[in-house]
Amino acid sequence: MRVIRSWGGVVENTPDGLPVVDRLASPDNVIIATMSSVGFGLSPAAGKAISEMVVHGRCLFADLSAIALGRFAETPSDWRERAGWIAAGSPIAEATAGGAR
Amino acid sequence: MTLDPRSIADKAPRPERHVPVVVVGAGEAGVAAAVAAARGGAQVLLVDEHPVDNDMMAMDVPLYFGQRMQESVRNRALMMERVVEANPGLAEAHEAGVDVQLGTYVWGAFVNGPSVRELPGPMLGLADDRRSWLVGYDRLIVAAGARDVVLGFPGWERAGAMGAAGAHALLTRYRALASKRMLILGSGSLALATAALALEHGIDVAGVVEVGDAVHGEIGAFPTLHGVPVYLSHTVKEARGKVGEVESVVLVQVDAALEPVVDTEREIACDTICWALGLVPNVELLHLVGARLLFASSRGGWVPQLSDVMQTTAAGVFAVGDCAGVRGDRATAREQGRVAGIAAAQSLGANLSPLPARRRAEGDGPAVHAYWQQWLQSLVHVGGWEVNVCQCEEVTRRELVEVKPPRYLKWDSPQMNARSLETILGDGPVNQDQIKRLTRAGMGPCQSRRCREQVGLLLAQSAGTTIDRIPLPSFRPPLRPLPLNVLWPADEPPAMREQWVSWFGIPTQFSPHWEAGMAIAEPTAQTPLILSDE
Repeated sequence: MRVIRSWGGVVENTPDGLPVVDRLASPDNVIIATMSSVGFGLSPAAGKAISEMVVHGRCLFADLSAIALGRFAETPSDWRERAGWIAAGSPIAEATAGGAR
Repeated sequence: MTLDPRSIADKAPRPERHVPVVVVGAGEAGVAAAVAAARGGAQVLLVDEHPVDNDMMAMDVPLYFGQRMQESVRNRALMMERVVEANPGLAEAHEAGVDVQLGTYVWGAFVNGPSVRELPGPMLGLADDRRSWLVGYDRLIVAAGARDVVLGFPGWERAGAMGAAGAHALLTRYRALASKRMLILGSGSLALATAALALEHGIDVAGVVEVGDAVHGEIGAFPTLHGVPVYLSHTVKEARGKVGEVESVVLVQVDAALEPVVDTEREIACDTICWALGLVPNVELLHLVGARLLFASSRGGWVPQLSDVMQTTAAGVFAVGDCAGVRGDRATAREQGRVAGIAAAQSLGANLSPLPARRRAEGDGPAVHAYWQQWLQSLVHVGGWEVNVCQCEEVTRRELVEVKPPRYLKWDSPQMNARSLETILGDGPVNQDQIKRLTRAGMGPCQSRRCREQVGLLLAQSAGTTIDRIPLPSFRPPLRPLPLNVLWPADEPPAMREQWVSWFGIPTQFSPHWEAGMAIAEPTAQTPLILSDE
């Protein structure tokens, strides 16, 4: 068995490891849909949710309030360090210091 | 704050050793670079993949050996002796204090960048027959040489169809070319030198074939070629033989429009047909370290952008010899190596006398792609569109330009049949990587060494553009098709291995969304991850 090619990429996570699928209140023409490191199998459902958010303003087939972006409103910007994912002072911590939530 | 035990932070594999200067490739340029850097006081590691093992050769990696290896290539000890004997520069490097490692492949390069910040420093992935390991470096000098450009004709899958670089390696380094009578395609200096070398080794040269109406090289410079038949305005119709072997080649004359002339076929007995149309710089490692590459047809295609001291745009990385642009001139290769070796040592603090300015007498050859395009056109006119362009994945020229899904899918739909290069061109410039994903051309175990150029040339021709406008198709590690048991990371840190199923411990990751209390004000790191098998 021989290996002839490989791929690598960045794994992105939300702080609680769950998706964000939401239509923002402001600006109200922005929809966010992201998984957290895994979720390929959820993409059909995510796609349907997105389409309903565009057409109806909200998802009709499920209550997605638990995966709204607003749940991170109070999450501190150094949450990666607090969760122990990265060490304080590490290159990533420096790069993301004061970064977006 | 302690780290989440599942976090990959600080678990990046460490190189097993660190060497200030690593030189890849022990040809003229690589040896000169290694010696110059060592004499400048730097600690230097020089690696070269030869002798490569028989299985790799059978896949036409790294050169197009065309199954014309003698049985003796299986004898690793003997091949090691021969490779050393054939290259006096290795002894010179050894005497200069260079650590020389032969039979060692470079399969990857890992450097920090926009998406990687946690590496302790730049590293190369190395491997031999048994294992793989990482070596850190401060300066990297790439002297990876060049490989053959090959163009398909009916029967080019047969054993005995090989490239000039493969033939040179088997003749001079391995002394193991299993060929008795060779027909040579092309008539430039590479082709004529190959013919002369074959004769010198007792191989009968059945002829030199040139699609144009004049010999390209200075045939007078090769007195031994007197009497060798030269077929001008000819191309290859077919290679024939018993199952899987080349036993003869059918040539046909072509007119000014490169169309076959009726009743001009001639069958020539030979066990080897050798492409010697030109060489392509081996830039895959330079691509991996992020060096900027430019297209220069007079140097064989994509070549690194270089400073006066052969430094690429990638930090601490130099390129010398044929991989920096094919010139086929040993003196230039040595001078480039020397300049880069001194510059590398100087940049590490060596107190050396100032460099002589690099000679600007580049000696670039003529633009080669127009010549290759001419050959390809003649082969398409004579051999048609049902010839495989990609041997590994059995993709024909027609399937390539019609952008057909792989045949084994047996997927036939009006939508797919309506798709062609033309419809794809409506979406933007032709992209060889995209065509690969759609057709599988270039996806096989030879890692596109046998088809990369002809796919590019065919796409350019069919898209009505020139090959310099087709972006460089990507290279991915491993740069050699290494066995899994070699590539397998035996040195993976236990902390990484124990947690490899996850990247972070996120207690709520697999909680159902209807459960309350997911939002975190203060995450707890040590809560066990919920795994489905627990």
